[in-house]
Amino acid sequence: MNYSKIGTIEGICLIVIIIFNHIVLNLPQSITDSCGSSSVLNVLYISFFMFLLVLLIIRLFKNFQTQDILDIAEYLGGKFLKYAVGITFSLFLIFTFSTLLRNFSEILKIVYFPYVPMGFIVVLFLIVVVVINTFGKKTVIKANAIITPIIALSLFITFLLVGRSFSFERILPILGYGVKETFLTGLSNLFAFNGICYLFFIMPYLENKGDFKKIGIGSVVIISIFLVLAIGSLLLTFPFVKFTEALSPVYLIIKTAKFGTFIQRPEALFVLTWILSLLSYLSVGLMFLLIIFKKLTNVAHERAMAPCFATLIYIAAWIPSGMADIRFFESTLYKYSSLIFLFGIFIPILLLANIKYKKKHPKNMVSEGGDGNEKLS
Amino acid sequence: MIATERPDRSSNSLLEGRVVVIVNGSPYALIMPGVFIDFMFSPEDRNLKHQFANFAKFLRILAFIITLLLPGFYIAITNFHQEAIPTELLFAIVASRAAVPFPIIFELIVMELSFELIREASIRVPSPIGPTMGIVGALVLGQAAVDASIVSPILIIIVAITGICSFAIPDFSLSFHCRIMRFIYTIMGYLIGFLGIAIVLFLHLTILLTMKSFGVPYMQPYLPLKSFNNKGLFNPPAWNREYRASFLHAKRPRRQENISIPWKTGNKHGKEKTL
Amino acid sequence: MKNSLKTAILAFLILLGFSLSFFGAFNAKNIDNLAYVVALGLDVGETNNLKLSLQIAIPSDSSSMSGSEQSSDSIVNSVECSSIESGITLFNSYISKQIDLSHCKVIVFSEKLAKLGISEYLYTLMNNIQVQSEANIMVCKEDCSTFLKNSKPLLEKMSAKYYEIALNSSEYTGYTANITLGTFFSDYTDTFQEASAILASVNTQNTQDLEATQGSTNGNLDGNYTAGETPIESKSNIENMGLAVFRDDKMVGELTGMETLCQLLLQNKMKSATITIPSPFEDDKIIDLSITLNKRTKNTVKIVNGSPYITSKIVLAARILSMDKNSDNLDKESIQKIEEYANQYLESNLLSFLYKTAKDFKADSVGFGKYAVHHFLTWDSWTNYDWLANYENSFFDVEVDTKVKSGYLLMES
Repeated sequence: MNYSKIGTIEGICLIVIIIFNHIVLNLPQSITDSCGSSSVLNVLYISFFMFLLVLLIIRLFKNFQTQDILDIAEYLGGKFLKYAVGITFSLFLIFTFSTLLRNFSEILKIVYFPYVPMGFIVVLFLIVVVVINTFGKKTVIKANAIITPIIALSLFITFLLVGRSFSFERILPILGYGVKETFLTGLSNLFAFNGICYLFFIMPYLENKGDFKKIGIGSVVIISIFLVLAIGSLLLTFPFVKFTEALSPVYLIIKTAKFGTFIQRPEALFVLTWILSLLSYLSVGLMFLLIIFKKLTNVAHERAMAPCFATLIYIAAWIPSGMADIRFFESTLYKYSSLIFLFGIFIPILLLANIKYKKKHPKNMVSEGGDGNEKLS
Repeated sequence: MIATERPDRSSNSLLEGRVVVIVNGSPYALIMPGVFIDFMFSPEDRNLKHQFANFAKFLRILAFIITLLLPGFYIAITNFHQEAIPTELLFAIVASRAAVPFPIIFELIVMELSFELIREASIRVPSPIGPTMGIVGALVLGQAAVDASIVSPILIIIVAITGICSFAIPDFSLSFHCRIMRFIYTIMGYLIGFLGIAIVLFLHLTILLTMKSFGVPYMQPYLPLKSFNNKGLFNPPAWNREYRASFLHAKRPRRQENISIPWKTGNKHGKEKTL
Repeated sequence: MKNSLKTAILAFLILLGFSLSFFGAFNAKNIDNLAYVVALGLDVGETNNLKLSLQIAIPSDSSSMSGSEQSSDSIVNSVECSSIESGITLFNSYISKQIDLSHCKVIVFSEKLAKLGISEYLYTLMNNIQVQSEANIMVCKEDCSTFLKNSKPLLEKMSAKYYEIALNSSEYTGYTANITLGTFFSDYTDTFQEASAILASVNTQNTQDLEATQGSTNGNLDGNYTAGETPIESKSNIENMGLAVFRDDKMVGELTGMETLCQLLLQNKMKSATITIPSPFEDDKIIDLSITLNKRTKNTVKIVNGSPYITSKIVLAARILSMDKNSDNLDKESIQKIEEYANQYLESNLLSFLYKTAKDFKADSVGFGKYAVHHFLTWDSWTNYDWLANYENSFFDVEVDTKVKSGYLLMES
């Protein structure tokens, strides 16, 4: 058996770990920069929008029950489209991981390890991630499924503990920077749901094809809940002018949350959980990189490429020269490129492939499950 | 594999659907497959009420975590994350360390090694002086070391708690594993604080996840999360032990009827009715 | 051994070797090599921009030397410098251990510096990773090194513990508030209100102001002191009483204990307090009441011709603390009289406080801005209105409703 089978919960954890990592870093800032005090309204709005979108994706995948987006691209446009999509997405993933890794390492270096060389921290993360990927996909998926609930719990506790210092008037003025910014240009905040991109790749690995719907809907719901919690608690606690300038808003929250007089500043424990979540996310990401690589090149043992990709990520992590560059990469480049991938590439490919499929099989609108090896010509 | 000397544990495992190997001349019976949670299991748990058994299991898991992580956390916090300690405790630690000439890592390693040496020695000491040796070694030597300002009192507490918790783990080989991994956590905590501990924790978890015991993944039943048929963290009450573990693929997966201990009630006319 | 396990072990050995090669660089922050600062003072410098004072704790071992006298548990040193960070660097070259601010409990600004503006120091302190947002922020009337040198815990062994619990008194007196650096910074950057800090001073014979009892209304005015003026007979020590009100980042005035109580009542933060009202039954007698908030204070703001019109309704529950031989806490009429007097007393104090903040200070230290913001739909319209500048034109209307519930042990005498 070549494939590892993913269950519902494992699939949801695969997608949700992405949002946890971004919440800890710069996601709240990007959203409040664009919307002001109407960020919660905006987040609810885009969650609803994304929910509809995921339902659409699930419906479109019904005709391609055992194929991922690369196979669909091949079906649509031949090998050229498959390679184009695969290579560009791999480059995007390498860029994302390197920026995230560099951002988090900068935070660690500033706060806890001023005398440790930056390259050392980055290499440490990468060594661990490579080692874990040599164990195989199953291990990565299982490790992720254990760690994601722990991270969810720690984030939940964080947001719960600041509940005391909420002042609900901070959500006013209700429209923030204006109707247009909240609802029209605010749609660009859909990049927060970037994890849905991974949904396009997990189809062949699912144990039950019916799980796909559960995974899609479950992950969107969980992502929305955590986004609302994160942005809500940040907005209601600080005047938002303040925390858009902060290194990591969630770190500020933990510094402010009162745990009583005895336990002072347990931020280090929360940072421990964030390190675990970053390790988990990077391992999952590297796993997907290897999956794409195998799909494109058909090598027998793709695990051997893990150190190569890790080296690429390491090299890419040195591209930003400082925090200003990192912020620019995260808030502008990452935001718009993930929107382009989700809306400009994946969904159109799905739509066009469905149209092509309907033209070829006008009577058979929905194919049956089929076994794992059925290829659509 | 679980190695046990108790016949009741082996016979219960047979009834669960495991395989037991008995060798002539050896007091141990080998039970397979053995998953992680089985090593936290004590045979008395089956006969106690489920509340008490679950409490004891919770204590053992807590002991496992403390044995593994406490020295590493102590050294990571005192070297890198001093702000996490409450102020008065911090001043107490600093004051008690004022006369100690060695760095914390050196003290910790020395005390841990001496604790292990005392433990090894006490196995082979003749029985009349065995308990005395334990008391002399642990208490008096520790106290004398504090008075001579070789180690600080807080470290003695840390080492003692770690040692006690390692005794609380039921299985001998698992406690050995903890004692060895503890050193790795300590060293990585000393070198890079919480980052090191997180990395080793992640690696440790992953290695546990890759292991298989005779075809059964070691971290069953937590992962893969397939069936929740009361094989998880908590022991179910005696009337709820209906299914055998699904990872054992037993021929008869059900071992009790739906209601195994029925109530007997009387109706108005005095006739007995069984539910 | 499986291939992948071999890889794991090899990788771990590489990790370890890699870490060991950077061995020496990491241990600069060993717990023994740090000097823990308990309080930080900032003052206008004589020869330079700033005078930085640090109160550094000397951890003492309580188990040994139990018979010897309690020597000082901290030292206070000052340095003239151009900024906080350069001052700390100068200290580091002077003191053997490295200065560590993670356990700094109190940050004190002198009144002179506060009146000149503290925004750059505020931002620097918030930028510092070691300084906790839970540290209390104080403004002291004299210079900081005198203040810190006189800070000796009367009932505790350590100054750090003293600083931690001293501000808890605000929960049962209402004469000051437990304001932290984080709250202060939050209020300072906020468009809804202005910031205020704890007012502190050294209380010696010279600073005690017995004249304050001759106030505007009769009856006691024990709440009308600010820090340092309370007539307590004791060794000189520091005192927290009242608040220092800031407009933007400059201090514009002081609030007495009673005025702080009014502010806490309006902000809904008062836990419990004791007030003393003139007795309605006899002319020169007084009645003590212990008050708590019965319901949340209801503040409403209307914009009338561009000026804010602010109304507050405060509902209190009171219990009578003082008794004399003619008291009757069960008689409805006398209770009603007491309630009326209490309402009048509090309303007059509240109105004088509110007009003081509006006309004299021109600073909204209570935070009525958050009740005004719902009149505006977008952020731009709110910032164009500029609440903080319009506050000085406000009109106030306060209604206090006190309900006397009972006395304590004796009901009738």
